[in-house]
Amino acid sequence: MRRASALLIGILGVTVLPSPSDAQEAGVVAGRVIDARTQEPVATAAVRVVGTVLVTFADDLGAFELRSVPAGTRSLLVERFGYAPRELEVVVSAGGRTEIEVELEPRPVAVGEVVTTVTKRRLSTLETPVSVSVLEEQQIRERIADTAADAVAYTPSVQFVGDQLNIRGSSGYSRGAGSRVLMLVDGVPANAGDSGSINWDVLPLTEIRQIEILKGAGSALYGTSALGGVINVITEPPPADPIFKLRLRAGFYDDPPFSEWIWSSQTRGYGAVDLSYGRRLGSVGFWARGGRTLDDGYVENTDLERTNVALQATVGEDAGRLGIFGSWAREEYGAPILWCMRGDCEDPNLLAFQPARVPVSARDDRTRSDKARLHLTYTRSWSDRVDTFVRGHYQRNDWDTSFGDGNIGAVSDVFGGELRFDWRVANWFQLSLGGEGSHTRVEAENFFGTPEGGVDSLSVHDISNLALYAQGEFGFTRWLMLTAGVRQDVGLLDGGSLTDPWVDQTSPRVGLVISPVSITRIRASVGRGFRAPTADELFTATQVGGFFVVPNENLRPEQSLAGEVGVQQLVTPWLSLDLAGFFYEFEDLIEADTVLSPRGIEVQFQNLDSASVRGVEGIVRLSLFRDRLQGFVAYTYLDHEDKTTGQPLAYRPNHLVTTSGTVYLGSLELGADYRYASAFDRVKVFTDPRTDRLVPLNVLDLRLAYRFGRQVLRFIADNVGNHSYTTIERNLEPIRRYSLALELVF
Amino acid sequence: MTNTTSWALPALCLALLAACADGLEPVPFQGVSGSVAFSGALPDSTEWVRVGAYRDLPETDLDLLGFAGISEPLALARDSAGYVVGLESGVFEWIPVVWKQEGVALPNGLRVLGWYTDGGGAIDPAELVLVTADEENGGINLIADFENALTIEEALEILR
Repeated sequence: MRRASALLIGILGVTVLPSPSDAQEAGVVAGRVIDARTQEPVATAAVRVVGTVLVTFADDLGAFELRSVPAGTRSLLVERFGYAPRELEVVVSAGGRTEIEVELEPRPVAVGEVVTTVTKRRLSTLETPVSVSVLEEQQIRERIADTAADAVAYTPSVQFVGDQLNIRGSSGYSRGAGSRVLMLVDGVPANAGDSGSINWDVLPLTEIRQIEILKGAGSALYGTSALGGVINVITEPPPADPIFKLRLRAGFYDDPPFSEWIWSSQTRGYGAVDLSYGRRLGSVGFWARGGRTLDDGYVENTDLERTNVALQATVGEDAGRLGIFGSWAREEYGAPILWCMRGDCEDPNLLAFQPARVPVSARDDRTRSDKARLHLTYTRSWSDRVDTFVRGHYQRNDWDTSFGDGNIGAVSDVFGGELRFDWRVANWFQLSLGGEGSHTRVEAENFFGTPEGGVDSLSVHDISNLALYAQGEFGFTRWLMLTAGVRQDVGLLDGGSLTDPWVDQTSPRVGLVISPVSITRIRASVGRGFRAPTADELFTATQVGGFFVVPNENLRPEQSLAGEVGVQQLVTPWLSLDLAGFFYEFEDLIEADTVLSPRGIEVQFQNLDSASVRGVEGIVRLSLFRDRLQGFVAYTYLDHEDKTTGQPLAYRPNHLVTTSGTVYLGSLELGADYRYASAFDRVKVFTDPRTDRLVPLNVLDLRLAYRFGRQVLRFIADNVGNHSYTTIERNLEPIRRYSLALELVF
Repeated sequence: MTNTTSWALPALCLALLAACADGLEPVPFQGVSGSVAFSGALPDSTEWVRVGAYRDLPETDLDLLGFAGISEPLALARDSAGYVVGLESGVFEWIPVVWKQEGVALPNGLRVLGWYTDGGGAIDPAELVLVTADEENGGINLIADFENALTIEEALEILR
């Protein structure tokens, strides 16, 4: 705590130094950014005064205004995703206003999306010292996704292990208990209070503007859960004019690839409808959304019903804006834990396993899950130098599972809040100071252990967290941007005191971006991360599907030192490269340890003394044939090790390949996406090479879309090769599926 | 368009070929299966009953935990229950039915209720069982006598 306080005071001390830039006379630079080919406005283009921290972003009409620009001849750098960056000189007169118009040349391979996740402020990905991938609305829609997870799976260096997100090998598998990726909705935390897992269904998929995926430790700004990365779902602001959207999806699953595995003579299908209506009334704008999904499932007893509704509103203008977001989702689904092994179900083929069937004893296992959240945000610009951000949020996760031997369940309530000041102290120095707090209460039924070693019929635990953070962005020269930040977290478990806290973590991070020329960016960062164990990891004591989970109240927070060095290069107008080398050095990594015993499979979360993940990532973006063919190829190599045993970490691949390409032919779009992940070196539970062979993930999807006016008709074939694979033992991943979607806008 | 398709189609075909390769395939069961006929009253203190398979006869209580394969807990609601035990190929000297007493730690809480015999009784001389590759050796039927639960020492005395 003392180290962090010293750092905070140090950063504050810098802010009182006199700034040479402030002494200068200043003027205003304003104007418009337009597409050089179409002459249409380019929204969200970043306009930066080179060699300073002065930056602004074009609005929906392409208009921008930069105040307090030092007088004299200044270089402006204008960037936008999909356009070549452009640097131009402007003459700024003291007290005057300079009007310019900037034309940007389209370059589909160029990156530079505006993101908010890295520094909590808007920033171009070209200026971030860490790797960030961005999924835009179009990419989410073209996947005919059920939840945001379906779109995120196509991000370079990302893999889902079961339903658990793994970014750059930071996570293995722990059945949802303890995510190393923090999910945010418009910057507000959204992980479940009890398990820490990501609530993918917490919001309808309509009106997501983009999903930002920060790779690497984000604890210096976000604290626990951001050890392996951060996912920030940015919703679309309410529209200026009334708009009604209807999205219909339907499809069916093919048979499993082998006739011996066919378990149902009926066609297994799914259907979904999403509705949204948005409009603005004066300074108040809103979206009302709802969705309903019915899915038969491709495996026995995996049918699903999902309903979700959401209401989003904004009040006020740029100077002071209140945002309100409320959502509720219910899911009811079959919840078998393992597929059927010989003897667990009737099988005339006498196979060792039946991957599309479940044991007779698990045919009626069901889970109900309700998720509700409400968050309020308020942003206020006091001047062109000082902004404040305040938020409060509440989230409830309520679930229960019924299975052969009984019922288990839990209710978690999370209350959280944050206050942040963004202060442009000088033209070369931007400072963010903030504080954050949360309180989580978990009430579990037949799910947590007693001190005597039994299972408590009703158990209650409280976890509280307080944090202070500071971050500075320094623009000393035209070619160097430096960021430095630190966060101090204090956590209390079931009461406790601040003088002897359960969690006491300091998370510093430094990063830099070097821009020798406008088409080359070199980035580097290093920082510490941590994650406190979740209530589920600490206290779960249950017996489900042959698994016996043993609590471990002595778990310590896991910590990491993580870093990366990367370079982005726009090689030609049709080719860009992004190369990165990265590492995580873990201490006390929390992993599920399993022992096969005559009692069954015993599972207990334990700290690994020391572990590491190192890797390289390369992304090539291409735009060929006059931009008619656009796509990317990404490759990630991962080297991971439990340093105590010398073994590879479980549930991590060594090689990941992600590619995507789309051919644009007028109103028609043809696309293909391919994902490959090498077979895991190691899993935890079932290791019989005959019945539990580890195979690679090897999936090709084909897409077709036809646009007529504002409406779109889409077709997608997922897993066209009908590749059969698992990411967790004895759970078949999705087989071939055909889907149609109709998107109507009125 | 011609250039586009000449580039994209071969790439797509390659990806499709790759996407069919090296997946899971049907695997025949390999091991033993059969039924267990229950004799006598089921003790209230029963935690589970399973069938185990041993390449060699155990010599101590602890060796009982050194099974080559073990079944899931048997369904005890009826007079008999089916079982399967997945095994590597080879010869197995002893296929017993094992009972676990609730609340007693392993291996002390284990008792032997019977084994696969050449005479068909619960504790007749043990019959060797052969498991060959990719085949299920069915009809390995056993009797579990709850009235005559044996410690490992008592079982070994009979077997020798």
